Amino acid sequence: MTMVIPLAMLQENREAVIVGVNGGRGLTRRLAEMGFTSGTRVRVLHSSPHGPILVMIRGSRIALGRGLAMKILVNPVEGVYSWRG
Amino acid sequence: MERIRVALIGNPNVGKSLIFNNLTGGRAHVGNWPGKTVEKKEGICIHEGVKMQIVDLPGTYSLTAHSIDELIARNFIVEEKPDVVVDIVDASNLERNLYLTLQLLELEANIVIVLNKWDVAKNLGYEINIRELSKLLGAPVIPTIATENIGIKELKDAIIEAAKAKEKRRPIINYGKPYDEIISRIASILQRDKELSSRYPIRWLAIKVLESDEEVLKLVKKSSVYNEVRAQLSEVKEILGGDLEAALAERRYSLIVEVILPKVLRGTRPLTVTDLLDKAFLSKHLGIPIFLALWWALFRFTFDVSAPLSDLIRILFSRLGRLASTHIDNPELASFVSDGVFNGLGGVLTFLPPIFFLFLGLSLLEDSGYLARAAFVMDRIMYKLGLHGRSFIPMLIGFGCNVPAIMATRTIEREEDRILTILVNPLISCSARLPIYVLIGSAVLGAYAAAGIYFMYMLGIVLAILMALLFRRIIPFFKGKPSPLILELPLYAVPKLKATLIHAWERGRLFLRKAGTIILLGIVAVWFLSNYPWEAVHQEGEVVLENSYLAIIGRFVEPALRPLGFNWMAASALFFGFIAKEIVVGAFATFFGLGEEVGERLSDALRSAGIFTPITGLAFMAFSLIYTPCIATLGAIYRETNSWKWTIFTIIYELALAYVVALSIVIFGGLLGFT
Amino acid sequence: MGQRIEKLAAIYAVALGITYLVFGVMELTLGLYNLFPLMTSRNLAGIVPADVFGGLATLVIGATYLSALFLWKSAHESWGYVLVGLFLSAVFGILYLLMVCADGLSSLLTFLEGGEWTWEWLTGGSAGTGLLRPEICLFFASLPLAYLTLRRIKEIYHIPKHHKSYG
Repeated sequence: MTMVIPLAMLQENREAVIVGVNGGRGLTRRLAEMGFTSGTRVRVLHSSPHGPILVMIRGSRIALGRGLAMKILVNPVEGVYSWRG
Repeated sequence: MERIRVALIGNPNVGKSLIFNNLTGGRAHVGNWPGKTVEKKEGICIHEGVKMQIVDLPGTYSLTAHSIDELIARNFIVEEKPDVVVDIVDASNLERNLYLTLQLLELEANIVIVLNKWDVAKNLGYEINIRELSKLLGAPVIPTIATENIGIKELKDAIIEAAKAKEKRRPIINYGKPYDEIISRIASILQRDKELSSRYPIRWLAIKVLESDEEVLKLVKKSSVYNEVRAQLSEVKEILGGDLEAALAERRYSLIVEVILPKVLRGTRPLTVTDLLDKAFLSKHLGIPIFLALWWALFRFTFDVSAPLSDLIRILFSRLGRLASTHIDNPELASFVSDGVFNGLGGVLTFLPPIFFLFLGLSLLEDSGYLARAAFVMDRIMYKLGLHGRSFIPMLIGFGCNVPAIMATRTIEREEDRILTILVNPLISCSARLPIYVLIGSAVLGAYAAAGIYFMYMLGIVLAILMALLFRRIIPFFKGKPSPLILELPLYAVPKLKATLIHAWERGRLFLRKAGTIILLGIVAVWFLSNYPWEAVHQEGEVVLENSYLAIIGRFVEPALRPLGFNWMAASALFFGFIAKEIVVGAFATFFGLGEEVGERLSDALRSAGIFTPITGLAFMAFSLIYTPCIATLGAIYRETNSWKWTIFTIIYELALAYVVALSIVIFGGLLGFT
Repeated sequence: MGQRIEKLAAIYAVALGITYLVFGVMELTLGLYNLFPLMTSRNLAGIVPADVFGGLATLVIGATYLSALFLWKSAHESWGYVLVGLFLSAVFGILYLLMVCADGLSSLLTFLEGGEWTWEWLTGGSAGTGLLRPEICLFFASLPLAYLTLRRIKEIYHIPKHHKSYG
């Protein structure tokens, strides 16, 4: 059974695959344009209890407001991103 | 000479401005897109006997109908049909950047793809197969390093080549089943409308119809084939489900990831020094303090390091003034030239160094990549205060001058958020108000002068926050939460000095043009009103200010301000502060018959004239902080909100607030026993 | 070898951090005293200026360096704190240097306008204590650490020499 949680609850340095977006049309579209589509891998770079989240997605760093991050549903997986050397 | 029209487009942060500068030699004509408040930059590039008219389209991630920037870019390409569209792609960020490229191909634009930041991509370990990319996308691909001016000549050659091939066939982007069939079906229906098919790329129209694009639907509704199209659409929606716009976005990315990138890109995206730096800059505990420290550094840089330049300008102009008054015989003309014109010009230009330094500092912060991090750490607080995360940049700039600060609100997408930021921005203490604080502070606050000045700055910030919260709650237009943050954080980079200077100069020049003229006119107006009626004012070599128009106005306004402890002089000075806040000090100087340079003597004169007590002095400082913004700012507000309603609202609410706050200070002060 | 550099850098960073913290506190306190004069004498000690916000900024720099304590355990992500600390040292060091120069220029202008020439700008002026300002010295003190750190970062990230050509 796959675990699905909001992106906002993913801890720092963990990775996940996007499952879906729980929001209105405008939001889903906007996120899709920025690359947040089903099956895409993301890694949380920064996350703190009440602030925005920073994720690495499709090779770039995108900051998301917390509310938004609560609406993106993901399935946590093992990581591939690493420090060089 | 042959002429071609070229448009530049690309994601934010790809280096588009730099390439624009490299192509046009830094000479750009800046205006507005017709009917909009978005900036339009155009320039000329002459190469191999061809004159290229280059238009810089707004930086955008996509070409939907959902934001002004995207619409402007899209409409330009579709309606104006430029000969070549240069798509600037960040080579270190191919996956996301190719999204826009695909949309351009849908639009059947004649594109030349630029792979900028080639050096960064290499350093990250990427290997990009340019030939394959070019083949797949059916367009020339030019690698460049804009910061070193590498690849620019090849780009110019490619643009000219591409312009010759304007009519060649574009590759068709396949989105797979079932989309391709549906798109073809809708396209063939639309094909039948002669008007549509002659003006717009049909396949693109079909795709937009499928995405329920508002602007395209408006077009199609007027067409004869509309009903057929609608029928197709509803059929499709039943089969595929509602949201096709997101679905098509997904398909585009799939295309990029599954078809294009495997043939073109080698090397994974590693974590880099940027992420190391972000550990500290975005740290839960240190992030905001670091931002505040850098903000303070910017402040000091803006005011203290630019000071000698301002002094220099002031000295220059007062010398010119003295020169004029000794060499011109007619006393009125002499006064006009030296006190009016030179004083006025000097007044405006002393303003320029701090503004330029401010923009320089901001450009450094922006070009290094830090500013986006600042937006990140400030977002939480801004959100709680009812302001959009990006509002903090205009607030920052507001400490220099409210005019460019208000212009900077353009980056805020949602109108309600933008207008709210604009409305509270004038409450931030701009640099023009500082001379007022210094003057009154040193005159009547004595040892507490510094504290008084700090207090004014804090007051401005606090009031801005309070008003933002208040408006959000009370005015229906602003009800609701600010829009959420989605922001790309670019890699950190060492800013190139030349690029930053150009950046800063552009902004400074704009400000100078817009605000400069108004302030100059204002100072001339003060000169006039304080020197006329000439005979009454200039009696036997003495200046009797009480007889001037200025004084008459002051006495007229005085009754309203008496509860605050302001006399007619203060009232007149304030009246002129409406034109430009710097003039307030100038007005007092005129009253005491002194020139601008004599700062200390003026505050002594003020003290001995006993116009203000410590409390009424403080109240005056507060009043000048809050009451109506200067004309230049009002002009900016009008331009950015495009409405008289909001502009007048600003004047009214600020006057009211100023009165209330000043009165409270006087009353509290009285209660606490200060006289 | 790598381990030793890490430890060395950590000690250095902590030392810098503590120094910044101390000066920061002094500047802040002096600044507060000046705002609301509780003491009659403005005690500069000739070196430490009274500066509320400047003092706070200096505190922040100290805190940033001290966060590099994590380096002790070789968590190499903490190089980030050292780098940012170095960056901030440079920003403020250069800023105050620029301010002293600006003061010098202003003095020159006053002199050319017929005023007196003083050397006051070297030890006073906008930066409080001019060239004696702690942040300026600390900036220079941070340079060896900068050298160490940048060399180490280059090792870790195999950053190649800058490419002038492509292909």
